[in-house]
Amino acid sequence: MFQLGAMLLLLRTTLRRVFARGLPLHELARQLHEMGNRTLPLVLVGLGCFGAALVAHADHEAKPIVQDIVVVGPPALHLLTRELGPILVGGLAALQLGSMIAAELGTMAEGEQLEALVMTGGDPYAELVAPRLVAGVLVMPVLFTAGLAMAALCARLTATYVYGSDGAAWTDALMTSRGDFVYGYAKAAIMGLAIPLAGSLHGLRARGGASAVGAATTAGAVTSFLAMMAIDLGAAALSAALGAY
Amino acid sequence: MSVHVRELRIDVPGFGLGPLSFDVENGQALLVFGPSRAGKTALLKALVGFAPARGQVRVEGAEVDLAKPTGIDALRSHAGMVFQNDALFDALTVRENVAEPLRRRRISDAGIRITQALNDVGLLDAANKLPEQLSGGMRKRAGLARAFAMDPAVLLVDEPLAGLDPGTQKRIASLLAAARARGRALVIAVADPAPLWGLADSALALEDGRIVAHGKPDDVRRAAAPLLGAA
Amino acid sequence: MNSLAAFGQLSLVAARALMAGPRLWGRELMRTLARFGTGSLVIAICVAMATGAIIVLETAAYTMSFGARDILGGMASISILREFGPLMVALVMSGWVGASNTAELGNLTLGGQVSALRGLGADPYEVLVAPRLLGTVLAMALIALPADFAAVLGGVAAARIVLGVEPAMFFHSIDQWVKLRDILEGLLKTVCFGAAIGLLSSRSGLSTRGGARAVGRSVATSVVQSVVAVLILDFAITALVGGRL
Repeated sequence: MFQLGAMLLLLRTTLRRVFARGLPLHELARQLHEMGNRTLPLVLVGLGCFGAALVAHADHEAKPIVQDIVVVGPPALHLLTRELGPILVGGLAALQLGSMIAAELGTMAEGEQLEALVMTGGDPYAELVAPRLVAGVLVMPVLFTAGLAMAALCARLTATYVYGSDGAAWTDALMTSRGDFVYGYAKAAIMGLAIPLAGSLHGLRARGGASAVGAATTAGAVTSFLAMMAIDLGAAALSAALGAY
Repeated sequence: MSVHVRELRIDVPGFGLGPLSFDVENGQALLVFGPSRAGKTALLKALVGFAPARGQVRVEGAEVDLAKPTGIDALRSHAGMVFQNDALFDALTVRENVAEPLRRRRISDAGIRITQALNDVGLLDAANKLPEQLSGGMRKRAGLARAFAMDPAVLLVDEPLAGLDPGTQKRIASLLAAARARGRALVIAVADPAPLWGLADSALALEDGRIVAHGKPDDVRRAAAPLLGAA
Repeated sequence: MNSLAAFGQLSLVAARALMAGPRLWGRELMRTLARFGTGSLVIAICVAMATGAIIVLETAAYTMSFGARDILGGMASISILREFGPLMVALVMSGWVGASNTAELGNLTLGGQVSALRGLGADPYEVLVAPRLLGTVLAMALIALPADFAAVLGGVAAARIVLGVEPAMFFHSIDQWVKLRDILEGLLKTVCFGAAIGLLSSRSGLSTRGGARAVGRSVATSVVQSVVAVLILDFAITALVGGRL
């Protein structure tokens, strides 16, 4: 919240520099690879477990009330698409990428590599920050898709094989409209911009030894996470105001 | 090829340095010395806008008011910096590190310059190694090579000899002397000025952010004797 | 990753950390506690509240449609105290406590300070890892109860604001359904999670080789390993202990 101004400033500076100097595509490719590959396993494992947990939870709690947990499936998928999915995927990505980016840039900052970069004619904003921002916006929707699919699939499998219920209910988009998917994707994309922005913000500032890098890493993860939650809450407020819910 | 500084004031947490004014003309070297935490590194960084400072800096006709640093990019393009902790790009090999500034400025005879620089610092054999595979002294030399390959009008050097054996120190000292002879302006920061006195056209003694003495090397040497005795 | 070698390495770290116990450098311990404890408390509280709110909303999906408002509080709180509360707090802590640990130890390793410690005859595990491990575990234990409390409050707020369930009914239901063992199980999990995060993050940090990118990768690896470990431990503890305390 207090960092919002600083983040917007960083965004503006980065955009300016990128328009002046261009975006290094090889670094963008590397970031797509690193950010995507590092986070995908995490998202798959996390959302998979969550999907199974949803069913287990439903069985535990809902059984006494609804007899067959099949009815819980469609509303769960709806909730997953609109809220739980973006929050979980965003949360995992925020922790992973927010800390990773802050740590890497922080190590460079602390080791004076950023100043060396400037002195040799380079620009940290165009060459380091911008590729991460673009990669974030591109990668997050992919992660969201994968996470959502994994959660639904694991829910379905758990329901069918562990609880003997009709698993198909958990992948039934009966209550989930196209608008819901758009909503979820939009949130994911915006988070994809905010997370690397937060990580870069703190990483670039790290000065003063190993503990400064550690502190920057923490700050990067924390700010990314808070930004993610702010985006989710903001979207909820917006859609409530627009009566879309 | 010169550096002109007016009313430089540096605000670093812990101390405030200045006001300081000096000129380093073509083919001259300013030797800045003092114990650790004296402000030597802060001074070098302030000259190119990496430390919070006020004052005017003019390098090769590019003038900058540090309070509102428009034009700092132009100023920086005339200067080369050797960092205390080498600040090599750790994802690039030694050769690639040295090549970086030349690649960006699209210098035509880059290949020759790189090889020359690597040879001068004695790192030709290690050219394809990554910084993590080098010793501290070798990394220092790589940082020097990167600056020398650029051959900038102004060289800002932070602890060029630290961590090097006497033979290599002599080598580096003569490279600095050669740059000076070629008409470059040098600002060199050291904890121990003894090996480089011969190079100095002017000197600046710092301690705890205060200016102890400033002027001709012999005068400064006398005025800062206690400082040197302790060093 | 060679699993056997990794396991061996991990055991070594744990054993050495334990053996070094009595000779801990008190200052390092205090520093860890201060940094991880109070700084993380605020965020853990926020995450816990959000988790509580989400779980209540999710539980409501089944209980409310059948008018079972009176068991909402109890059911949701059991889930919170035993499962989701410890889990979410641990996942988040692996992100910043763990990541920050890794980044700092990674920088110390790269800068040669770890080798220097060995050269001076000091044991890096005693000096660096053991205090961090203890600090992480203690911090997690300290945060556990406040976080539980906050999560339940978050649930109460969500129930009141979104669902119109009166707090009095909510608390009454908690009183009816929640047992001490639910809280204890949650605490046990939290402590184990803390130990896992402390160990894994330290190991990742100390085995960093390379430059800034390597630090970033170590941090990413540390987060992934911590999350997986937390999920596995969660499952294991639930299976072994669940309801049998």
